[in-house]
Amino acid sequence: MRAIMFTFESTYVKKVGGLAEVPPRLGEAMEKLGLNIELFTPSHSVIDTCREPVFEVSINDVNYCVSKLSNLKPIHYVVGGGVLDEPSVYPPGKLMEKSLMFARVIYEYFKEKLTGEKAEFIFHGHDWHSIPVLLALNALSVKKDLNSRFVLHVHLGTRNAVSLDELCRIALLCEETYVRGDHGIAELKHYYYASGGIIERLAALTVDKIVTVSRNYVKNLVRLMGPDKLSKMDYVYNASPLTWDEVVKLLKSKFGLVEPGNHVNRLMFRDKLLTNTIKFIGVSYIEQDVEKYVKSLIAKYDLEYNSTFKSSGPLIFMIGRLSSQKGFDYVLKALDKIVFMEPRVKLVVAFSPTTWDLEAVKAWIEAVLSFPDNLRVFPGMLSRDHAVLFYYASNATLIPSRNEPFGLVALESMATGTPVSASKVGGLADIVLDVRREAQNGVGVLFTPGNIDDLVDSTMHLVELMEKGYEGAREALAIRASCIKRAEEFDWGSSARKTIDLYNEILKRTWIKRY
Amino acid sequence: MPSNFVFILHFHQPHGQLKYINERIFENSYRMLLEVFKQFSDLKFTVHISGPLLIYLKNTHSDWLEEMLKLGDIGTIEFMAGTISEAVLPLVPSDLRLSHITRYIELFESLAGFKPKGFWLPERVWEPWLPEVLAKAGLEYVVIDDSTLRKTGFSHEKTKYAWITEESGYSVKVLFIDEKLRYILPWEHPDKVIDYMAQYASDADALLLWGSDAEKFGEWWDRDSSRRWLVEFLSKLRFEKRILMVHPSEYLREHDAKGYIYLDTGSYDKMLEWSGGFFRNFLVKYVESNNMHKKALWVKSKLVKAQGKLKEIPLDYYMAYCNDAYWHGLFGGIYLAHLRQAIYESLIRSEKIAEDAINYFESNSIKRILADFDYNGREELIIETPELNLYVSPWDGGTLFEYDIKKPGLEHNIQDTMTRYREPYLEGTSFNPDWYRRTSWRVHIWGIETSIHDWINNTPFKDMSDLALHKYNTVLTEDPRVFYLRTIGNVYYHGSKSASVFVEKRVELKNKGYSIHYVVRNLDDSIVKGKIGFEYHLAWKVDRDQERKPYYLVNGKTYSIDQWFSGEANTIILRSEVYPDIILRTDQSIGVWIATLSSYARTEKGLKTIPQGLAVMFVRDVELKRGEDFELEVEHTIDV
Repeated sequence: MRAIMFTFESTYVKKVGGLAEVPPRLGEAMEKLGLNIELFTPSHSVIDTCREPVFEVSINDVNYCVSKLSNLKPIHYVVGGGVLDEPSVYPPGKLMEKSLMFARVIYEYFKEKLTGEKAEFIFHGHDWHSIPVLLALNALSVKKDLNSRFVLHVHLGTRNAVSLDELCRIALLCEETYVRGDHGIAELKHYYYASGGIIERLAALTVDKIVTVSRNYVKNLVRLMGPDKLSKMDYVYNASPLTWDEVVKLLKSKFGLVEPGNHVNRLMFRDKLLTNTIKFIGVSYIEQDVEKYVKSLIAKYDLEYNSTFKSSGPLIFMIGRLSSQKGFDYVLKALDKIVFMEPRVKLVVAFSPTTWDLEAVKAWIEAVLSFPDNLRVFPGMLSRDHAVLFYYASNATLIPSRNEPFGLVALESMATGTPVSASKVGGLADIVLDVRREAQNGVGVLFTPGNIDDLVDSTMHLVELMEKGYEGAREALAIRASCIKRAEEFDWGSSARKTIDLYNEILKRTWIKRY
Repeated sequence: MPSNFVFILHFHQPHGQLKYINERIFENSYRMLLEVFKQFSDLKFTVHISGPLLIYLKNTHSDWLEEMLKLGDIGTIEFMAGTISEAVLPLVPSDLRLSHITRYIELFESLAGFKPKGFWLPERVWEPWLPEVLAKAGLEYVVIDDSTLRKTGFSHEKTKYAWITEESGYSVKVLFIDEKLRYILPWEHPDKVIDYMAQYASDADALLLWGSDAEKFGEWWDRDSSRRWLVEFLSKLRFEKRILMVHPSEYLREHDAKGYIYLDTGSYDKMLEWSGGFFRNFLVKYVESNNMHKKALWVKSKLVKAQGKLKEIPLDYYMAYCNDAYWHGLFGGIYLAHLRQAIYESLIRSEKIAEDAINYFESNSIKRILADFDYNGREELIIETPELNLYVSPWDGGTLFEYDIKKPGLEHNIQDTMTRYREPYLEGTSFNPDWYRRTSWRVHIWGIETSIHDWINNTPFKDMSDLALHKYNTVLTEDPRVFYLRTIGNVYYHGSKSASVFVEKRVELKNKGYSIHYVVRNLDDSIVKGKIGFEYHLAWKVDRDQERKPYYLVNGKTYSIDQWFSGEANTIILRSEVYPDIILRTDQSIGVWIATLSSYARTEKGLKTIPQGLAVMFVRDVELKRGEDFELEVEHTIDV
């Protein structure tokens, strides 16, 4: 079996959000179980793919290259050239083109490389950006009669539309192109019209397995793709990208903290972080335009985003993308109330904005002017080490998402022993056991998404509870222990085993040849 | 075969009415009417005296009241009940509606020795749940307008009879006021009125009902003329064979209700027009009306907590629902500052009683509450101490919209001024309605040429910023006496955004009030050039007993409230004979504009200018470069 993954983000090439962690880490864990995994991702101009290409193709007079990064686990194939070198991973106005061109180059690559091969193939695409790739390789498989199976791994459902014209013009997936799907081998237009033009529905008709990242999120996908697709859906949990052992090691080696498990040390660490260390923490930017914008805004308002707080206090941490999905705007609305309930509270927000998010960046930076004693905003990518510092020092990590297929942030936080206050949606509802209901195993609180009062009440309940932990309150210390334990339950080994089982299950199936 | 005529005179003066007005009306109208009733004691009159007026008459003219009650004893007058404060019942919380009626009945019974059977529905604002409350109060009938019948879709024919209506198994009989009759009596010649009344003469069950303000006789229309008219009308009625003057109870005894009926919400024709068809919408039209109403609900929540510790809900609390200050029609209504003041006084006194009863403040002398006080879906900041309340709207320019002084004897909402609204009768005049609520702490950046006249009369496009209406963040601190309001707004030149401006208001509670420290900072490279303005409104306490006017002092020099002031100063004192000084003091000498905020309201005496309070604007010409601040501290205190 040859398993080949496609993803727009890999933490080794370019990371915007949680997606970047999953394909490489899942792939690595599967390799440990004996499977060979190859991973394809666009270059986003991080890598000059045409310097030492393993494949080159010219399309409409533009040169596209594939370079191989053999030192990575799994092996990465980085696809570059033209729109694939757009530095923004998700460039506004060009994203569909980028996704289709990714498919086109990969199609050309496999058309050349797979001549006469008789192996079993698993083509495993992550999120909708990889759907054109799956379609292109589906068409190639029909053409070359390859023994291939297709898996779509949904980290976030989007309901994006694609036109037949775009599919044909850029990815050479034209009306008469034959693909295989639920109705057997048929012209693409047959499946396209059945899908209503929604790219994820098109995929649902033409893949063998739809995998998502939490049990609860399957419901969202059923709504997105249709109830009749439930039988081909399953979930594979993501894993915690962090373990308590790694946290301890990091805090000891890089930050000189003795006994990170001691609650008094944790409190002292928080106080120092807020009143001193914070000023040494910086951010990096994933897009130059964004960096320029953020810097001009900060200069205009004469702000130092990492300035120290005048005093310490209960700390809430938020980290993630600024997209509407993440619901950070709810917290902007809730700031008055949060500070009202606890004037000493400190909220540290770290986000990695894209060009889509400039208005939201402005709103957050302006909020710092209103809440100078309570709010700091890190308007770019925090290093992993620094993120761990904030997780560790916080009373709670706040995850106010509108929807959240999985919620890696919850696991990262819990791995540092910090509970989460999260919207009761998607994977968060799977991961987070509410301390108000699960006295023994509680790892946070859940609130109704978008309900500001519930968000504030739940979060501040948790913050207050954990504040007592700094004085040694048993309940709070038990919650920290439950968090670490719960995070460990989500590991890549289990996810890899389940994924391999799913591969084997679909390889056993036979397919109708003709429609 | 005569038809029946019921003549109901509704006597009412609002809670908080000025003493000299009460006395004028008493002399011109009530005393004259008593004489007429006595002169025609063989006829049958029906009278409703509203709760606030009944209390006033009991305390000041008990002899008149006694004579009226005697006319009741001999069968000349049938008295009707009402609500203790003449509250429009739909504005009263549902659990207090019944007691609003029973408190009236108890008071009336203590004076007259019996309970009335009929109910005068305040402003005849009908809602279909009323039968249950009225029946529980032991009332047999209620009088409403035929317009409610029409609004429901019935023909005018039904107006001629009594009907039964029901809610949840409770019933009450309804009698209808004839609109046409109400419009001609007493404004047409008695013969014409009587001819109109005689139209049903062939139907012995038919009823024609006139129910309206007693003050039409002697106050709206001069005493001598109206007396002459009444005497002629009643003299003719005495011998009119086609019309039999009856009491409502008598009519109901002799002529059964025709059947049952269900009615839409309603009131009289003009009220439906003024309110947009539904009385409660006055709370939407006038934010000040909503403010009083929601304050009443706020106080009620404290009174509810005090149940068991208080013998009963204070009468003052009931009086705060007196309807006149909550709406505006033919009378000044909500535009009358003395009526609003009376509402706030009653509410603040009741609030204090409740707070004392429940030890509301416990060990904290300052309570800070974020609550959707006005039910608009956004939260206001409420600061309460045993001595004062500050109500702040972060959403409306970060402004102060209620400032209650709670000291016994000095109960007053200093912020109780009135926005000037667009009113139909002001169309076609040079009047510009206010584009923002006239409350305090509002920050403006005026064009450099703006004048005091532009500000107070709302010359358009003079404010170059959006700060006045911007949403502010509320930031509480560990010190309960201190909080901040902060925002970033924009300044526009020729319609295009020119600069971002940061505004901070640091509010600190002080012994006799509070201080506020303003910072206005330019965040952009473009220079912010204009007149920065900080707006305040001060409501003086009305002198209810005498007509003594307040005045103000600027840096020690006295000005009448009719005078405008424009100059440099650092201390402004609003002074009156009936209240301690209300003081605004700045930390620097600064430009000040002072003018009386006057409304132009329709009253029964025609269009009148009604002063609402003293409007104060601190102004300073600035040219703020990037990063430059303008700072000002203003202390707002009461000299107690």
